[in-house]
Amino acid sequence: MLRRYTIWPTLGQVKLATVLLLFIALSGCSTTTALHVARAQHFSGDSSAALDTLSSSDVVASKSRLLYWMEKAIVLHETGNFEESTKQLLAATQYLAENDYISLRDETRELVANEWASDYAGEYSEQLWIHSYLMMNFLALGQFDSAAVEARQALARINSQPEVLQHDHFTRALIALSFEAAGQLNDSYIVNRKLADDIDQLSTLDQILLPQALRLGFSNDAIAIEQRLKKTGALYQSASPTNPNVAIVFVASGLIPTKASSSILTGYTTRVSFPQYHIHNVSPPNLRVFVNGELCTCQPISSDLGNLVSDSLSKRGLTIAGKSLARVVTKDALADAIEDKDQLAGDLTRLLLFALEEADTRSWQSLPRHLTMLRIPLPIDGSAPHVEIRANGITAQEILPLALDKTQQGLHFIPLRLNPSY
Amino acid sequence: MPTLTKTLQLTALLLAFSTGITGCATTRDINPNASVHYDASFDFSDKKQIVNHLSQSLLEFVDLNNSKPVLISYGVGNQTSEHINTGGISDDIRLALVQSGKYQLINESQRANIADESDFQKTGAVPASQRISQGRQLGADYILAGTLRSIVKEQPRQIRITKKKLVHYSLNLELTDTETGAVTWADKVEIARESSRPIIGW
Repeated sequence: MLRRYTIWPTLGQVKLATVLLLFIALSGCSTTTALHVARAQHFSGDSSAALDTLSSSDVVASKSRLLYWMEKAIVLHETGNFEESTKQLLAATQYLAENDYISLRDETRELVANEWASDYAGEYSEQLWIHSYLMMNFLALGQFDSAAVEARQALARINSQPEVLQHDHFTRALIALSFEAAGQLNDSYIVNRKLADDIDQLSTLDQILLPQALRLGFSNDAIAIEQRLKKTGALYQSASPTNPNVAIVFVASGLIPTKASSSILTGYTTRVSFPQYHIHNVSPPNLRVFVNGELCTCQPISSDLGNLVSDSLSKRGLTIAGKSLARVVTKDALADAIEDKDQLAGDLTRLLLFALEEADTRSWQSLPRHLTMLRIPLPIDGSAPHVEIRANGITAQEILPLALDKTQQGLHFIPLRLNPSY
Repeated sequence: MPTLTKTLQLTALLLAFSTGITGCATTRDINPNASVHYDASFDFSDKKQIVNHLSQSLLEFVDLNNSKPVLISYGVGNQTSEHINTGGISDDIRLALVQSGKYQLINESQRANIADESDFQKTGAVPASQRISQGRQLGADYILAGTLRSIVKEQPRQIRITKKKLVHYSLNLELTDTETGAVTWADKVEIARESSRPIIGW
């Protein structure tokens, strides 16, 4: 039987066109171009241009609004504007709290279009890092109670996905530090103790735990820790309870990998797309610290954000696969139903649905690859010390002089962004 | 043609429905003494309850050696998992104490400004007779300080249509004798609240 194609659309084809237009509308145009531009401007050294690009949240589609706040917060944080960075991140946490439910609208859109059609909620690790950056901001601002509030929220996030997030040693050390700065020593001690059980840098944690155990009156713990430190020859100045002056440097290095799109063809006209990370092992930069010219024996605590975000995505793998399968079935059934009425319309539908299948590769891309915490004991004599940090042998930062008398608990917080090439 | 009519009717119905659910913006006055909670988080009503209880309790405290003790407030620390401006709590308790006339309160937050004003008056711009006398500031008999804490418990993961959250707040307030370091008065307020929210929404 010959197929009959006419120039004028039938009523059925008009209806079909309407349905297809609806699909396109549902798939949304989740524009993130402004974020790409801003990132390029920021990393080429023109942060004020990046902030101009991100001057209004309207430059990003509402479905990707979370990324707008995240990316802008990083630019502001790295330019030292911790107050404004905090505002952006608090907007992001509020957005996540308000949207903490299964949206029928988004689920429907995803079923007939793709994941770009739904609001971006961030990977588990990205949600955690909002709190990490808030803690760093609040500490740098001297708002220690607020840092401790974020520490509690971060702990709740880690407890919600412990298999992935407990490997974020940097954030866990930051949580302990936030409690310590707020004078909540008992909470800090508990977090540090648990962290010490999970990482192989026991002496680094022991140096923090010893003065805390002494101040809390945990004499048995203190004796055990001191013996461990003596045995490893790692009883440094920082472990002394009589030296409260410590500089804490948060070092951000490298760039987090981006999500890539992968596809599987399930037939001539059907495909399933899914996001994926291609992770290559990258070591954190070799950091050496000199205080007044003397090499500091302080050990870093690092997290590889690339591995963490990849693990977070993998944790969602089953959900993504389930949704993809449902989408394939729905799209196929839809195209079949239309094809039954009109062959041409059915073919066009299949083509459009094939083109609409796109993996959601949105991610927080201005994050560093590694976040490292350095705990640098400072001279007790009260003089303003000269701190020099060398990354891979090259001077990355000189802090001169460091004011020692204005912060609570004797802790001084210095966020530092290394060139992304480190 | 009948199909088209039906489509138009359905579209009109959908439009009417969406207009209806969109609703209109409204405002209304609420009795500040009424207890209003939208969710489990700390709110105005909680602050009111805490301030009323603690200031009343503090006014019942009697210092046998001092008819009008001098207090300095070091505020209320926030050890919850919410960003709560606890300055509002300590300010309201301070206000209640000042208005009662039973205590004298030192304004610690104005010390730097007082010092600046004093320095300015010494420059010669102010007549000697009107200058602030030195060494007449009040010394605190007591320090007033407290801590707001919370314990949050969320319902474990299971098949359900609502998500429940239990929050327990406690605010401890203490009066510490500056001479002896002893805590001479202490009280606390506890608030426990459960809230639930749907897991599925539009």
